[in-house]
Amino acid sequence: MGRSRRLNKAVSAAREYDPYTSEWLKHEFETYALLREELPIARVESRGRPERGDTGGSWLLTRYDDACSILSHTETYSSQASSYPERPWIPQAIDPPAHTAYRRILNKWFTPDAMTAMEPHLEQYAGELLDRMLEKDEFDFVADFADPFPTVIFCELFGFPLEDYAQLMDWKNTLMHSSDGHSRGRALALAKAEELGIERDADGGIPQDGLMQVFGSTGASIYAYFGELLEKRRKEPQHDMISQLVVSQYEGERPLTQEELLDTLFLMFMAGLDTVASALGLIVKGFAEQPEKRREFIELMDDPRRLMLAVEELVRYHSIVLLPRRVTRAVEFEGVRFHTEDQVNCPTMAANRDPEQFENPDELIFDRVPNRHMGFGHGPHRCLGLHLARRELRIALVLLHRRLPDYEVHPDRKPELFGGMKGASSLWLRKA
Amino acid sequence: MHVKIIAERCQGHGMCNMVCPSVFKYDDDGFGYVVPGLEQVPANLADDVRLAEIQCPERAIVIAQ
Ligand code: HEM
Ligand code: SF4
Repeated sequence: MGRSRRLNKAVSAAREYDPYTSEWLKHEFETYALLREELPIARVESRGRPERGDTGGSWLLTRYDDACSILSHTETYSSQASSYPERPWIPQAIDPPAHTAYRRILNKWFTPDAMTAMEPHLEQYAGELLDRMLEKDEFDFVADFADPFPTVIFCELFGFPLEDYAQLMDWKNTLMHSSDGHSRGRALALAKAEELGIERDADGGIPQDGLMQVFGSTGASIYAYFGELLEKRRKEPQHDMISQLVVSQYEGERPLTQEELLDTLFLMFMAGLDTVASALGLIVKGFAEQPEKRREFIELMDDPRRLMLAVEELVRYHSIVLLPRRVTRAVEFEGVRFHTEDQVNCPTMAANRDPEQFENPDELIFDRVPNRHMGFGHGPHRCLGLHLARRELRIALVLLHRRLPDYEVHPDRKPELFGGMKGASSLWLRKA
Repeated sequence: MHVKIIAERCQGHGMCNMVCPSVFKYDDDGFGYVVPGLEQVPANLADDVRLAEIQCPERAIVIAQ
């Protein structure tokens, strides 16, 4: 293809950019590569997702170095880049210096030592789920393992009552997966829309303003639920993070306000319920489709050093997070002029496949060094839960492959993938 | 070989601690630090320290000979 044809193709790819569909996933890496080569800082004219605060008219950055630079400069590129059910959530949508103060409260609960202490429990629970799943010859890996494993662990750790698990998952799926290819999320959002008396649009979907109402109403239910939970923990503290949060001090000066507590719970709920589940679904789908990579992984997994590097590489290769930022002042970036209130998006799946930073980026290379991937983010907002996530991924993958070295995607039941903060909502596998 | 972590750059990814836990620890605020006394890296740990320097996503680890 000639140079100018490629450029034209890149321009139209930018114009049509919409990562929130499962359709997009079929060509995402190809498109990010084209954009990186031709238009590394691309003006995107996506219609946006107003219900998520994505107003369209934004920028898409596909180079690793550019993403690092944006994510490190929080004064110019604010994390408060969406619309929120009540207020910006804590700590993900708050900029330093307040962000630093909130992270100081949370960081100490998520240190490597604290997470290592949980490993026996992680192993025991993962083992139980796997034993139950493998009584069957065919099973949905997402429903039987990828969803419950990290989610139940998170609920225990944070102090969300396990009897509310199904309700919490439904709320999460309504909020995050109403229209990205996740069938359960869509069904839940449609049911909620019906309950609110919202009329469907011509395609049988929920119109934009209707979606805003669905989110508002679901957000309000979650906030009310969290309010009650906080009250209970104040009266009767438990050994969980919610109980510790209610007695935490902001900068050692004052307790957190009720609003701050609610906004923190809200973010933790969204970050803790979806992420490891999504990554696990995509990783295992990859292993089902690439048996030679799976065998390579099984061979190295008894060597702790190689296993550690392999997990990092899997996080790079199967990155799941889009990172939007909002421009706070007119600024020139790499020759491009950003305006105040522009959105800048740095998808980790694009940065993590930049050949300038990662040799053969589209290949899974288990002993890749250097591997300074940003699957867990970059700069001050780097993932709070990364020491937990790494351990969960490692333990899940090792225990699964010890029990089941050979499997394939079920020939009659296609995996269901969703876009945006991407993942798998169903992955039927069969013992081989 | 001498190693240090530039505190202003460190964001606490913990890669250094995973690669070479004897030299790099992790504090309760969520950041890495070099174990006091090991700034001058023992020869048997030099390779691991070099790997940590290469892997740090924020390029916060600095080695001098
Ligand atoms: C494979 C799993 C995971 C991946 C790929 C992942 C990825 C990320 C990324 C890329 C960010 C940066 C967001 C930003 O800059 O705006 C982030 C932030 C965050 N993550 Fe994770 N995460 C994972 C698991 C978890 C888990 C298990 C938890 C909780 C227990 C968690 C809690 C958080 C929190 C609270 C933040 C916000 C940090 C801040 O803004 O300071 N994550 N995560
Ligand atoms: S790897 Fe780098 S950023 Fe992470 S804790 Fe160590 S020095 Fe800090």
